[in-house]
Amino acid sequence: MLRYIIKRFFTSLLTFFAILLFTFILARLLPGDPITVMYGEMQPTPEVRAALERELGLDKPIVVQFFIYASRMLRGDWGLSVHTRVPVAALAGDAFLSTLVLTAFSITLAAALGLLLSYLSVVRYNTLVDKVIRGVSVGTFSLPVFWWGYILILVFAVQLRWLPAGGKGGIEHLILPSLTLAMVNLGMITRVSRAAMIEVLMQDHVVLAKAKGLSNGDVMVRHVIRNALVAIVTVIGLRFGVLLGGAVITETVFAYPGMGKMIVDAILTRDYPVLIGGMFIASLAVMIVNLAVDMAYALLDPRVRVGG
Amino acid sequence: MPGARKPLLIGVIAAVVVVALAAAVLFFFQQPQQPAPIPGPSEETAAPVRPQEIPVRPQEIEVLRISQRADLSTIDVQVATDSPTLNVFGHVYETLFKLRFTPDGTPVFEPHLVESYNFVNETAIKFKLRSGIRFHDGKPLTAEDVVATFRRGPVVGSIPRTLLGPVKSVEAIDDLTFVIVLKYPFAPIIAHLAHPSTAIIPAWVAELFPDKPINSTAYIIGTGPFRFVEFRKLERTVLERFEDYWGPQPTVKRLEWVPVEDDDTRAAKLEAGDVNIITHVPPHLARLLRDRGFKVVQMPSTRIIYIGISVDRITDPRVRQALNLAVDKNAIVSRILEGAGTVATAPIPPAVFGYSPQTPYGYDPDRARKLLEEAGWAGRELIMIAPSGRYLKDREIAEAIQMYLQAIGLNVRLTTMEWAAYIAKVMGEVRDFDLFLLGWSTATLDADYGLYSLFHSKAPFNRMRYSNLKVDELLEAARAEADVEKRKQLYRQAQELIWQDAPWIFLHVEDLIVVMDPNLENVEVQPIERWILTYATRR
Repeated sequence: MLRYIIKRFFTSLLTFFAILLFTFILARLLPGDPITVMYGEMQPTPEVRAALERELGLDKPIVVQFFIYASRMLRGDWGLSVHTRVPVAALAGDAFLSTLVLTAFSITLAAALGLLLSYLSVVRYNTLVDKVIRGVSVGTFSLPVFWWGYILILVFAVQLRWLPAGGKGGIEHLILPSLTLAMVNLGMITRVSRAAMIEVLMQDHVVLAKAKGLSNGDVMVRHVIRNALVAIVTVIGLRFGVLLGGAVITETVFAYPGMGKMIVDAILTRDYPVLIGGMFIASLAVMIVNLAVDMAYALLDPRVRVGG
Repeated sequence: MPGARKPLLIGVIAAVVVVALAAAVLFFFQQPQQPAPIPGPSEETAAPVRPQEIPVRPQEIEVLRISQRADLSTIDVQVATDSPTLNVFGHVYETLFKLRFTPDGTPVFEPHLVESYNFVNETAIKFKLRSGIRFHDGKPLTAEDVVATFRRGPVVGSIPRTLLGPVKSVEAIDDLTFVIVLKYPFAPIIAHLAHPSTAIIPAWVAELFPDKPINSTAYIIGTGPFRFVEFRKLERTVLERFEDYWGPQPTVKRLEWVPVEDDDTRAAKLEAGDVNIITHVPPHLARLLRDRGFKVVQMPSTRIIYIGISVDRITDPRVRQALNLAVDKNAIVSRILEGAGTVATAPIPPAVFGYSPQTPYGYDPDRARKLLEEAGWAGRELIMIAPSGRYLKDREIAEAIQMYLQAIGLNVRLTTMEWAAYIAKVMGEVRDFDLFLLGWSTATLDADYGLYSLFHSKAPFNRMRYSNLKVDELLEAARAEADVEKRKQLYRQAQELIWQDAPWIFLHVEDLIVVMDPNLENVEVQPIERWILTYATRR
């Protein structure tokens, strides 16, 4: 187990540095520099441009820029946003926390509902309940995220006025965006865990367990749901990176100041420190989640350890 | 699972139908509860809306929330170049003069932080500041602050550099008196001193950041009616009434600026009551909101949209005239902009001092073709670039123009880009394009800012590389001319020449659309893309 964890940790670290380098190069390859963007139709004097380039380190060769930047990052000095002069660490930290809360909320919601629906679907196999659940789950992930966003806003914010249409604040601000994100994952989780449960139900050890006289409920809890959990964990793991990406749309529709939105804005305004800081945290997060998912596998399914 | 397909399909269809039905029922069921439509205010707001004389005690507003499309782009008022940022700062900082509109829409520049001023001679103006004005940090406003502000502005910011370009020196005589010495007689100086980019910042802040943008919100200190409280990126900017404000006490206690990029969400937030005012509303949403009883303020802005023509690549004026004749600007305004604009009749908008209407080019593809043939340009290839998402329907407009130009036999290669890449290309040294789409807002409402900055052969924003010595002469003479009528004459002549030379395809003046709660009053919307909320009240 320990060897497996160490091995996974080092491969993650490699991935992380690759992402860092890749982002840095990509940011510099994009046409348009932050100073030009900042001043728009009205460009600064050559002196101001030179001063800003010096301050941002843009006057140095790109390799030097990378090393300066990497050493700064590791020392925790993430610099200031080129445009707003807000410290990047604070900005990225805030945004990351916002997105984390949002995704955690939506994943919990989707996992709980998904598990419940798939359970119902399995125990009522091939009845009307099963069919409706299957239909709804396909429907939820087939429709685009923004569609769910607008429909939820239209119904719950504009018409019923129960919840705010967007922004950040108390828990009420979280409900609609996390429901939007959950919708897409709910269907996926329901389908995957339903399939997993059915597969387990057909396996010999379950038949044996039943033959040994275990009640249906015991069989479901001990064997079937445990297996479904592996599937759900897999989906969550796979979806987390996608969630960060999907969160961009949700965050835009709900004007929610999260990570996805911050990174996209940073790309559009060529705000390198914010972009790189954001990617740093995001890739770290995806890496940790993947690591955690793999560990969870290893715990839930001993075969993974053997294979890994 | 064999045989499971049919029920599955039925399930999917059932689910979609149920959801769609539920949404539709909720949507339509609620319709009658909408407030009764009020008469479309666009007609009644042809002239800029401004506060009426406020009766004895206006009804105060605890919190007023306004949603613009963009967030603060910088925390430095002297660096800012975009109106969403300057709108926030317009409530924190103040200028020496203030722009006001008379009921008939005529702009007037009134002394604001200054009490009085007089011309010592043609190039020297002596100003006296009002006494008793304090900054938000408690320090009194002095002439030293003005000197330090005007010294720093042109170094760090391009707008202050343009506005204060004609200023040779600023010197403090005593605590409240200072003299501005101009490099040459410069008539629009008062208009320039009313632009929010010349707002006064404390001397100690200016001296702390002499050549770079300020680096902390702790230095956002002005003399304005609101003091800065908080800036949370992408979330909100909060301002609070400054209790020691020297002028009439604001009727709004707390102002919250909420950036919402998505147009539909901004509209939904207004409908849901999350915010009270939304700006930059696209025309189709404005119509929808008007039908639902919201107050819509629509007026021509001072932003003109044009296709710049690289004059060094297209040297023959006949070709440039042909390009103007080939494009149906009326169709662009009515169909693509859904009426949210006015066809340009001069290189500057009508609201600007010195505006002189020109004979429209009209839509005449036959004449355009003929001109092209005469110039030997028929069938040539042109490279056109345009931004996507910066101006109202910019990409669509560029595509329409590509089609119009192809219709007269030119081969136009169009590339649209996101703003950051685009502006770098337009401003860059490598100029491998013939046509580019840009906008320019003459925020001082004086022709000097709209014409000199763009059409003088030495002007920094003359991206067309247009050069006409006669135009240069006229523009130089006009900025130095003190006689109002003579200035107008000079600008009229300059505009005639520019119009004939056609360094642009003259397109349109964008409309400003702001939508608000129907019971909000005294929200002042100015055509220079400024919304002043200080004295807003609730009915």
